[in-house]
Amino acid sequence: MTRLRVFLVRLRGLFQSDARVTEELASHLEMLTAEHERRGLPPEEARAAARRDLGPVTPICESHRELRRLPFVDSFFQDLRYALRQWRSHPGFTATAILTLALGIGANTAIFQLLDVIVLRSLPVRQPEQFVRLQGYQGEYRRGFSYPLLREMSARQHSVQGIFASRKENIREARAGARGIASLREVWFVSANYFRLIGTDPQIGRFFTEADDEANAAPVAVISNHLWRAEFGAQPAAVGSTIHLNKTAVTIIGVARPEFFGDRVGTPADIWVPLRLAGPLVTPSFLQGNVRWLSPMARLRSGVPLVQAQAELSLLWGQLHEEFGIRILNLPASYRMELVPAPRGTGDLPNQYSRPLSALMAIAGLVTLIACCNLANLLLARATARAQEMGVRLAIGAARGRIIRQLLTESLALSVAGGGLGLALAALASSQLTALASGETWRIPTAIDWRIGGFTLLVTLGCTVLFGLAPAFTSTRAGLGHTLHRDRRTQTGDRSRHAAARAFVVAQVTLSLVLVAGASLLVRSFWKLTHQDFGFRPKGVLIATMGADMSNIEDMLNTTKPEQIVQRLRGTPGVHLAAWDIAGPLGTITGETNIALPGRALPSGAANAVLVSSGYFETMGIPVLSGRPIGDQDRKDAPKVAVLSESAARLMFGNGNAVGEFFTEGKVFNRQKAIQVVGVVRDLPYSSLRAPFGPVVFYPTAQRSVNANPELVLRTEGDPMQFASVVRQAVREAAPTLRVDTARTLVSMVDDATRRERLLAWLGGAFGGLALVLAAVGLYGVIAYTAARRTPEMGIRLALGASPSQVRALLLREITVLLAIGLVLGCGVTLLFTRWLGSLLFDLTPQDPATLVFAAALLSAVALAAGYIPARRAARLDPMTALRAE
Amino acid sequence: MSTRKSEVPYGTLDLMVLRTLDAMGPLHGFGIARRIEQAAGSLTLNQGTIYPALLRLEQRGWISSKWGASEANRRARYYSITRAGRKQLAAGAEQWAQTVAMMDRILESQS
Repeated sequence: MTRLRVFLVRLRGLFQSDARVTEELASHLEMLTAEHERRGLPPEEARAAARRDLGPVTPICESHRELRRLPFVDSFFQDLRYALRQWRSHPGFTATAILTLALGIGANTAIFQLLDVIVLRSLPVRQPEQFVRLQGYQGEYRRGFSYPLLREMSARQHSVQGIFASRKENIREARAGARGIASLREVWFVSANYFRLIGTDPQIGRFFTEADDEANAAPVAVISNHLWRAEFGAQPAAVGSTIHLNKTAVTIIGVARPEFFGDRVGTPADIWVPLRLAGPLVTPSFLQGNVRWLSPMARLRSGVPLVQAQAELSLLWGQLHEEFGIRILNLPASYRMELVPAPRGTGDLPNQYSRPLSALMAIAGLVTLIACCNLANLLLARATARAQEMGVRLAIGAARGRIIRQLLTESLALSVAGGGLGLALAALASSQLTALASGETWRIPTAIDWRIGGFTLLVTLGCTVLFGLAPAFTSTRAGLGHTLHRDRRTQTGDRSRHAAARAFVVAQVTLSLVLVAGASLLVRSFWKLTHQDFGFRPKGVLIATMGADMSNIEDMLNTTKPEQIVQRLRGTPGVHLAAWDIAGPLGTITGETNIALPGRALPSGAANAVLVSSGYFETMGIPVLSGRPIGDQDRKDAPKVAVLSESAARLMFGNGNAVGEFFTEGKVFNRQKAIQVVGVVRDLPYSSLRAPFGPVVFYPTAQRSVNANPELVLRTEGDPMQFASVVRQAVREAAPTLRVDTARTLVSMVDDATRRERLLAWLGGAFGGLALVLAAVGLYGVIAYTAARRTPEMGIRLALGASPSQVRALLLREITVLLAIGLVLGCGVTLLFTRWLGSLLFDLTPQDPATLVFAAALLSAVALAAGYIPARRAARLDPMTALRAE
Repeated sequence: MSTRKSEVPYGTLDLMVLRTLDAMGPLHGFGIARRIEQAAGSLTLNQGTIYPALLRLEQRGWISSKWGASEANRRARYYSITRAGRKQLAAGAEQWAQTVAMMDRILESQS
């Protein structure tokens, strides 16, 4: 207890000055003088006697100061000042060191920030760890919630704090008084208790209450802070203003806080409206009991554990189904509700990016380690230059620990400077990084907050230990008598420092190889993914999705309208080919179909059905492998035909020729309704570019009924986006009740689908390049230092008749050996660790030998080139100059 | 008084200061030094060394200090013993007595 008290007092003492004790001593001296004077001494002698009695003042003040303050802190600042002086006298070294560290630490911070925002962070609301997702089952069959079911369950349950739901739909939005085309927005339909339960407060205005979700309630909306700033100028008058959603006037009643983006990471919300508005804005059937369009979440009640809430809600789920007769009759009457913890909200983004970002973290970590190796070698070289200084200090009695502390303080100063610069670099780069990571509609908050700062600090301290410890210890070994020797010709150098330097070089080469190999794998994988034969030719293709207001849905599902539009477009100059379809590659495919063949039926859902118009395969550039594509002859009254994808043909007819064969839809083959196969095309990727989708059956649009939004497909000259307005015009003229919802080039859709891999390739490649630069700089430094140190020795050799190339070889020999060892070790470590990259790679095994050989060759070339320059310079020296060098 | 300055045995200055303050009440640095010299008899110390000792005692909470006016109306810092200090004094005195007794026993046994 006393020790703590003393420590605290001494801590306060850091801020006090000598003033008090000096005054006391002066006062004491006066009193002594007065006493001597009283005894009869004259003033001069009295003062002298007083001084003798008091004793020497300076040692008193010094020991007082030492007791008063914390010597540890004082010596730390002393070391810090010394380090800063060193910086001034060695600017080149300091700049190199700080920059090296900044690159390493900055890389780590930047990736950690992405990882934090996308994967690690919970929702920015109160107590997100209480959130769960609700998934209901009847038997093994998943069932969502309908609007009435949600309200009923929400009202009757007591197990959780509340159940809330959200769902986004695309809605046309127009501003009162805005000119031009109304824009399509994502509007989120949420339950009345959504904001209250999710745990956020309004910035201005208010959030929804139960009254807002009642029938006949006035339509209201809440907007995001981002939208408020971007389109309402952050004016308070936004609250109370009106926007039009699908022709319904809605009043804005509140604005959310800046950090709140909804419940789905990566899909930020701008407009929220009550669930009930789904009736007028989307379709009245959303309010009915038989449309199950909601997947709710809930907030657990403290005191009711998840297992208990799950059991109680399961019971209620079953009760409601029986009570309202809404069970599916041919499924078992067993009901269950699963509660899945969801602190990061809904959405799949955290899962998708967890692996890639972790891989990048590892890569960035490697960069930092390599930077530390570099720095350690730099410091070791510097330590040799300071060997005399250290030798003298130790010889006159400095404690080894004190010197080590000083050297570590110097390292810490470098680290902190490097870390600060790295943090700044990361902050600058963060917006570029998130642009790289996101697709077209993503917004990631990029604030550097205390978590990031804390992480940077940790990395900085780790670096200090890594690169500062070895040089500090080796510099202060006892028995440095030979370092006091001034004559460098007879100096052999410190053994332990050499060993440490060699170890660091090998470590650096090993780590660099792992990094360069990993980066090469990622880059190659990305290249393969984007240059694969997709089965269609994306360049020059425009995809326009069509939509209609609720009142005009019939028009959209009528097949003649898109056909007319396509005809009109075919005549337009610049448009080579035009067609339309329901569901193309990289879109959502939803039509599972049952196929029956003579004699057998395929398992339910074995194939998917897609509707395509005539000319589709040609427009998309999909090669026809046998037979013919869907064409103009496949009209409504013509014989029913279909085209199969490769895998569908194989599945249905084996390896024989599928063209000319018949099949039926449904469970049993019916010759009356048979459909003939007229062609087979390549397999196409639908949901993911990594693998073809599987068996697909293509039907002509003219012979079927359309059940989803049609897509117009154009192959144009030049940039397809130029033709977006042409398409809109054609739609306006041929089918004025319809409109174009989105128009994108197929190339941009492919880019979007390869977002993750692009991020990995770019960053991995950048870090790989960084590692090469660091390796080059490091090895250059090591050779240059060795050459400088051995200059007198080289001078003797040259004088005795050695040729310059022999001298060069001598200098390079050591480094070549270390390089070889490092490469061998590196290969082993690479093979061990890259297997972890496996799932991230496309068409490439992690142990791909060609990539490893390439990486090793690249690293060797860079290393040898870096080492050759100083070696050549040393070999070219005039022997006399070399001999005279000290 | 001997003109030869004899050494203060290590660790005893603290005890002397505490005892002085306990007996005499609040004193300033000069007063404490003078009193110790008088009480110990043959001791003349470098009076300045009292100040680090006073600091040490104050850091441990055994004495407290505040500014006041001296006899000659000069500004001086006055020190007084605290309750914790009195406890420490008792403990220290006890320990000293034990040390002395032990040394006596050892020295006597060898004579």
